[in-house]
Amino acid sequence: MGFREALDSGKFVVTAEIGPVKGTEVEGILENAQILKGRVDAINVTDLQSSVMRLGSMAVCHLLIDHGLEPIFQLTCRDRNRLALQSDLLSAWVLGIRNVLALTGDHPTLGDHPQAMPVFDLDSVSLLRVIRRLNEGLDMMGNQLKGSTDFFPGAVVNPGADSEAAFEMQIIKMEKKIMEGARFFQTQGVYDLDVFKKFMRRVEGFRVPVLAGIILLKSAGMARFMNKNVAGVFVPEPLIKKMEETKDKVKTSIQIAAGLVKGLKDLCQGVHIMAIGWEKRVPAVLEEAGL
Amino acid sequence: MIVFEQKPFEEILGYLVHDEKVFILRCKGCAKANQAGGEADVTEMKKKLEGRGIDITGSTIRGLLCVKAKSILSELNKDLVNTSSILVMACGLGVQSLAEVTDKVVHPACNSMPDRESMERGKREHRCGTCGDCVLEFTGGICPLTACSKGLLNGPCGGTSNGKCEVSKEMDCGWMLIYDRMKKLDRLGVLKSFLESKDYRKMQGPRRLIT
Ligand code: SF4
Ligand code: SF4
Repeated sequence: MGFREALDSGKFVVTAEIGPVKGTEVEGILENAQILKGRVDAINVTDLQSSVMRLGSMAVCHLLIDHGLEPIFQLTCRDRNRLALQSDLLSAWVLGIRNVLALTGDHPTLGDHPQAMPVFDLDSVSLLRVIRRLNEGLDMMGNQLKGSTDFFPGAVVNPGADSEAAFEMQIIKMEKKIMEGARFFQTQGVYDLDVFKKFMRRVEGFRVPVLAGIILLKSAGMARFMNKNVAGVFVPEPLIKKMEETKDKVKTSIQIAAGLVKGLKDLCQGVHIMAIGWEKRVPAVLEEAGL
Repeated sequence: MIVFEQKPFEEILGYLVHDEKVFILRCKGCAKANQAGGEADVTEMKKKLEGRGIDITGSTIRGLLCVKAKSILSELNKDLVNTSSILVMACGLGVQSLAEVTDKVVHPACNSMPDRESMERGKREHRCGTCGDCVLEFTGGICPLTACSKGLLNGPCGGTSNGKCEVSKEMDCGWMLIYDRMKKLDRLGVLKSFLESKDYRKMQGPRRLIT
């Protein structure tokens, strides 16, 4: 069963994430992919995450397909204008890529080439509209395509936005993304089920599946760092304490993630696990969560 | 007004070949640029270049180079007879205006840059990127092209934190300002409108406004 079918079937869907290597050594990526194979419904491949130059998302998506995994092609508006975005979408389609996650992208100044020109010719909402058009056999200008795409487009939303304005704007933008064709959402990392519950209550009526983000905690330090520096991520103090006091960080991390997955089962349609280098632990999280 | 600062001395020196006879021309400049120095700049430049074996045929401060390049040049004609090139301490406009009217080699001595100070002094919501298709109607009179670091037209990115932009904690997130304004105006519904991507032909850019 493919990713789209899994969501349609109403089963609790699991996606994971792979960040391409900075360089050409793809062995590690493929190793992680093998570990995730059969355990998740699809794997996101990030697009120059955090604006750090590295191997491209499209190439890694293609490798995953070659190895029998279903990728979700993350595509940001940071580095490509509308010509390149549309062309890359056509290229992705002919390479067998079926799922796209439309993103704005981090600002280049946050990455390792801060001098780069920020493009942002389109934004995530207009990118979704473009994907819809390509699916209809038309480019952005309405020109006929010789052969169309049939992408399954998704988008992101941040349920933990830290102020009324930020939260409400996330909901408004989510609605706009749905209007422009988003068929599923993946969220920023969730650690507080009450906050997430409140969010889900607001968006349930949209009737678009939401996969809650799970970021594996590697240490208390990482949790504190995220609380300070990652927008919309808040790790509650008791969890930080657990990570601080444990003798076995890996085990505790898995327990925390599995606990969240269990709690999320009744709240949304799936989870998106961001292991950030700990891909090998994902099967253990799923096992512990009873998936 | 354009703000400029002197290029690193070694870079300027690299522009000049050994047997070159150089005349130094500094623009009196607009008010802002003038604060940066003047006489002292020129004297120091002359001294430093001579110290490195460059033949300086003369130097002067005239203005405004961007609008009066032609008349300034004719006043200097005599001084320039034995000169092979002119080192211009001025903004990019000044250098270009002079290059247009002289056959001598023109070396830029400065880097021109946006006037950030006056940009920051002016209120964000008064800034305009002259995009040719104003959307202020839909954004509560706050321009998303200039108030958002990514110029996003359809709502904020996920990087907003404590009302600030992901690019810098010193900068307000433009989209948070837009939300607050629209809420006050009781027009939040308008934020659901889809705003079309910009037509870059209408925007200022290379070869757009000047023909
Ligand atoms: S939308 Fe365009 S015209 Fe209107 S203020 Fe912004 S840049 Fe200027
Ligand atoms: S944080 Fe706000 S101002 Fe900064 S890029 Fe994102 S939406 Fe724009």
